Amino acid sequence: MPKVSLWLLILFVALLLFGLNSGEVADILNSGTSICLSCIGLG
Amino acid sequence: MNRYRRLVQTLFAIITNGYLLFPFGSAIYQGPLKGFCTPGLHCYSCPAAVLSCPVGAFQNMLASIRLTLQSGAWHFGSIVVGYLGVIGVISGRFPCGWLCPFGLIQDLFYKIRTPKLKLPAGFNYLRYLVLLVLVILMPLLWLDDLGMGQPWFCKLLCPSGTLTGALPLLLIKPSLWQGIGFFFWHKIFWLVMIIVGAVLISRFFCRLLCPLGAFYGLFNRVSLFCLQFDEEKCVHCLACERRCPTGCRPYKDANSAACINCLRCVEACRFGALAFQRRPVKTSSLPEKLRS
Repeated sequence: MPKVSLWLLILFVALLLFGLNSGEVADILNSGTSICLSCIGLG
Repeated sequence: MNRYRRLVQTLFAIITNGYLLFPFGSAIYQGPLKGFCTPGLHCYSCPAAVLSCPVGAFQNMLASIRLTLQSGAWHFGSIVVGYLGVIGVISGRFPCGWLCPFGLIQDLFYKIRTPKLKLPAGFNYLRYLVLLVLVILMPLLWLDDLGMGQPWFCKLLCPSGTLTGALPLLLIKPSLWQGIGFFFWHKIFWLVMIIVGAVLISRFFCRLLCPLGAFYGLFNRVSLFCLQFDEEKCVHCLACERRCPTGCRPYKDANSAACINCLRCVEACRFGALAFQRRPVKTSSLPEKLRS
């Protein structure tokens, strides 16, 4: 595996785990379960 | 290969739109799967969507970053960046070519028989501006009185939100009609422009405006799996260039950021000069012939 790819993979896995650990899944869930009026141009 | 890709695209679009109870239950799916993002661009306000949109989720986290920091939480979208980054490092823009529902929609529009146009090369960089300004800077810096930002890419431009979110929701929830105003018509205008563009120019939105494609494209040169070109087998027939939906020249630059890894060039090359495989490790700066 090329070194750059390996380091980038480690960096992004770390970011992913940090996000999981800090509860960002709940943020995604909150924004995804209500109708996003901005997304559909109504807000 | 292209038939197989179409099958994968279709299956993935069906899987990510698996909530078929929207005419009877809640207007959109509200279950736990919405805590996960799809790797492609697909509006989470689409009535059938079972996964969230990574671009929308990321903007919403940036838009509320001040409030979450005040509450002591470090929510700056690292889960989305990490998730998309892992996919990008492994496969580059592979999700654009194989998994993105809006990519499939554009492929279908391009099948409409009309004269086709080429996209001038300079426009290829506009998507980075969209990523930087609409997805990162504006949600982060343009605040309302409550200190909240807005998901400006969704609000101003995203055609997936209009096509798969707004229009079906307006049909099944007439109470939403009262919210129609400037931003809705603005988005309808852009949707029409993008659809016309997609009919005339292959993968118009992906090449010109898609912030997700811009992000994945950053990894095309370092991804673990990539397109590899064997110059010794190439007969310069240009079949790869003719088949490429994004106007790439794999014989000149096999890992261009514009390449969506659809692998149509691999299929087109009858001489085996192109292959999608694991990136080789460079062990020496000397050319292979000298090393041996």
